[in-house]
Amino acid sequence: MKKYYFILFSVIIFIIILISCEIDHGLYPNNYLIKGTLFFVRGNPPDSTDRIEVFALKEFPPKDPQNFLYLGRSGSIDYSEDRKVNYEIQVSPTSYQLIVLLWKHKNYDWNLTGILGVFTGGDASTFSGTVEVSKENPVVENVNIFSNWERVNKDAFISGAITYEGKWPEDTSVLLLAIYNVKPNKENEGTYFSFENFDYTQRLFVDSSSYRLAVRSSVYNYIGLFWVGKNITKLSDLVEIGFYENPDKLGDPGTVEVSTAEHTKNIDIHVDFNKIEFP
Amino acid sequence: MRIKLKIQIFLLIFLISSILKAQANDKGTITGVVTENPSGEKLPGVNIQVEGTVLGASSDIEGNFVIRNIPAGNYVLKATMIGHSPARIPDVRVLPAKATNISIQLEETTINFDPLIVTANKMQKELDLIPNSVSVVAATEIRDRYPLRVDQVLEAVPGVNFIRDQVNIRGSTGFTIGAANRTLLLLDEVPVMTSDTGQFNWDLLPVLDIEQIEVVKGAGSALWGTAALGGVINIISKAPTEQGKTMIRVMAGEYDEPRYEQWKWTKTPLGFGRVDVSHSRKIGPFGFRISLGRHVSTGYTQISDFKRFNATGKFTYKFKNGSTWILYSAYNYNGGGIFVGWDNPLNPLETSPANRKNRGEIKMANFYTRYNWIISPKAAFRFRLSYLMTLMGNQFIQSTDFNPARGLGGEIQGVLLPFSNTEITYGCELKWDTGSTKYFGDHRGYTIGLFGQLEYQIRNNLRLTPGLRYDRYKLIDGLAQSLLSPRMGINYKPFESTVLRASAGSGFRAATIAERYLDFETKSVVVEANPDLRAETSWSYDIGWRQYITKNWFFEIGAFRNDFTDLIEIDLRQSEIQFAKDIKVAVRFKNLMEARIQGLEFTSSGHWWNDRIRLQATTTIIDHEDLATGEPLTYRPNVIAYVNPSLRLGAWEFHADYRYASRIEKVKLFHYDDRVPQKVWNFRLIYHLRNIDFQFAINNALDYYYTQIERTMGEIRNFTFGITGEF
Repeated sequence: MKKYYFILFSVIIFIIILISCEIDHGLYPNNYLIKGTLFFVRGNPPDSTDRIEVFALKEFPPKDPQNFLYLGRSGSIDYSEDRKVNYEIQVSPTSYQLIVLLWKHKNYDWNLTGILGVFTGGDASTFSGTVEVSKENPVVENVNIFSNWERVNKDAFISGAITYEGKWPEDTSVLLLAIYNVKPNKENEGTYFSFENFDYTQRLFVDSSSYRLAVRSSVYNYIGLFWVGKNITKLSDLVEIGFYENPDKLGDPGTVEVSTAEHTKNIDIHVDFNKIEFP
Repeated sequence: MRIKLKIQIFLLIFLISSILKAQANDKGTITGVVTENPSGEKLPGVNIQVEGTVLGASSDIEGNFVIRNIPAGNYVLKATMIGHSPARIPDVRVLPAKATNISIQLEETTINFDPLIVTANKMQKELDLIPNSVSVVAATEIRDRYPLRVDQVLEAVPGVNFIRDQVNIRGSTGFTIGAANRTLLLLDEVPVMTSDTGQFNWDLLPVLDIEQIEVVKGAGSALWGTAALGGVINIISKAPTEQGKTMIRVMAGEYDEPRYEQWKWTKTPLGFGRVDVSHSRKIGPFGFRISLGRHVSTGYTQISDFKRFNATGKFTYKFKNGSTWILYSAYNYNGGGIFVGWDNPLNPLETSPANRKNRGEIKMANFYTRYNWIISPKAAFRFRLSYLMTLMGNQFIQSTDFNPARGLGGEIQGVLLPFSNTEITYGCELKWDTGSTKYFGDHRGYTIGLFGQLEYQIRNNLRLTPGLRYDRYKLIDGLAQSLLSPRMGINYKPFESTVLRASAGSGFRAATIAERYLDFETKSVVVEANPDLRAETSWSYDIGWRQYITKNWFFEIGAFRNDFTDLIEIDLRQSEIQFAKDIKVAVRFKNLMEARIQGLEFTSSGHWWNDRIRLQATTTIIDHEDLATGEPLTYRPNVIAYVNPSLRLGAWEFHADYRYASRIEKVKLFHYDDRVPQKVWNFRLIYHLRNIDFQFAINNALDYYYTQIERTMGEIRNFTFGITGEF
């Protein structure tokens, strides 16, 4: 009987040793990174600059643009040395819908309207690039961002209300409000990038909202609102759903002239979803 | 109405006085001696109870005992002692004005599967007669584990797991990020949860002086009131010994270096040490036990170092009629760094430079006094007064912002045995809480509870236990709430080796002062007060089957279900955030959730080959669900398991512990961080040399890395050497 128990115990010990031999050590160093280069293509940093950082947002558009979610950020980027700066962000393994270089004003918190540039997937015709970080692909490189200081170097404001009529398309992803000197041309997608400033933080599925965009003093001939569906991949798929109309000739784009330190108000836009065809 | 009340009071007095009068005449005495079988050594400190009465005694230094004032009749005596099989002596005849002499023999055993427990019924009862699911950790098991803290012992209890410092009974609490625990912690049946935050400090509990730990699973508010939502843990401290006894334990240990080069954060060796001294003795009817302990550690992560000190004293006095008086006091100091989580996954044992000055300290003082008054063989009262003071300080370098939180409690509990098959427990509990900090202002509140429980023995092998408690709690100038907590339990022993049990009961936890009024803002977090927070409530259902295969081997299968309502959780406006430097996260405590936790539990324990081989194994399968979303609850594993084989050969003992918890499915903050199951092996080697034990242990022997909450690594491999002497 004693022998039997001794064998039983030996088996238990053997199992323990066997399990031990597999040596599973649990967590191990796993460096999930997004790496890339920032190209500062136009303009110079405004005096009001506090710092700039690259943020990785899992979901876009954010539910609250003033209090947006991010899973990784680069830390302060040193932009004083060169117009080309490398960066890296430690992140969690998941997919990221927006990698964005943000500018922070000395007196204000981070805000998604302070955009210097976004990762576009390496293809100028693509709206925004999704970045997948996973165990199989822990380091994603060449997430390059072309940045424009002029987007945040402003001396005036334009603001207004946006009203919506009809039913919102269910696959609405984001609305893009952009201010142009010259209306962009679908035949030449590059013209979409010629905006003075843009905002894609408008609230969705509401009856009305408002906007306030910083601009440089100039004459703007087109202030347009574009609809972006969940499955859109190209700029040419943008759907123009409204624009600021000439008060004297409804149906035509209106012109807005702003002077230095001026705040031009009531540049309103009306959207009637019933009259728009969506892809 | 008043006349009715007077009649009720009169009837109660009449009932009690009738019982007293009935017992006043024809009383006899039982005397005797308790010896150990087969050595014949006389055993001091054996607890002898007269079944069906509240009378009892403990044997003196010569093993002798006397139980007086026993009404003439036939009785059954029960004798119990730690480390020995309980003995039951039937047909003890007590004659009027005469002494009946009895000899009792107890056999030595290291495991007692049917110990006396007190938590389930608020009076001593054998485990096999309890309708609830209860687990017990005996002093011998605690000794064998050489724990540095009490929570290290609880990890071995079936259905219990820890998420950082928060104890979970069958997944009750999860990790509440500042909200209180959903488990009631008692020290000698006295609540030891802080008055302002409802947290408890494991360091307040003296490791060396624990007689037994009882874990009652499922809602227990019908007897214990607030906080017994998911269960009750009762730590029972040792009584003074008959002989003068001094115990010294010295332990020292070192943390291993992280196995990955890039995780190494310091060249300084990291370690810990603990010294405990305890002395206990009885002088006539007076007894005392005094303990001092010091525990220091560098921690295994940055700023997790600490220095802890605790002092406890327990004083008892036994009156001739069997009544006893106890005074217990404890003081604990705990100061050290606060590791709030790693900042960079490349260096998981380091925190961000901004958090490296986070230090805090807690001072706690705990007192209680209790008088057990035996009125007659069939009636007894217990009076208890308790006081718990907690002072936090230097939290995040803001030392002047805290004032002591004070909890004053009182309880009167009566036990009545009106008939041979009926036991009634009833009483009233009062608690007065105050809390005051810069972060939640100055608040006070009270709780009053009235409870009653009947244990009715329908047949020899069938017991029914209904109970009811009424609680009213109110914070001054705040919300008041009244709650009724019923319970019903049934215990059936169809065969001598089979126990079937079932119970249903409700539980609640009143919102703490901190949860209601916490209101502060830091650079990254805004916490908003919510004074209208209601109590969270639960209903528990539990069935179980315990089967003794042999005298030395049993298994137990249980099924449980807990339905929770109005669970208080932190309402994060952002669910996936990086602790921001600039972006603020707004949070508040809210009655957010309805949830269900159900599952199965399997336990088996046995010892063979003259107790040379022991095996304890337990598995709990937990299915948890947020009923609104259908998603799993946060910070709960689906499976927890524990295996503890051990071997004793002569003076040598070898123990292995394996703890497993499946990967936590859902967390609150960093959903996308890697998470793994918890798989930890501990090995211990013990050598006994007369009164001295030498112990060498490797904890987390396979160097396994895991997190229980986000960005906080579980304890890494460490080596411990300890010496325990008993003189």
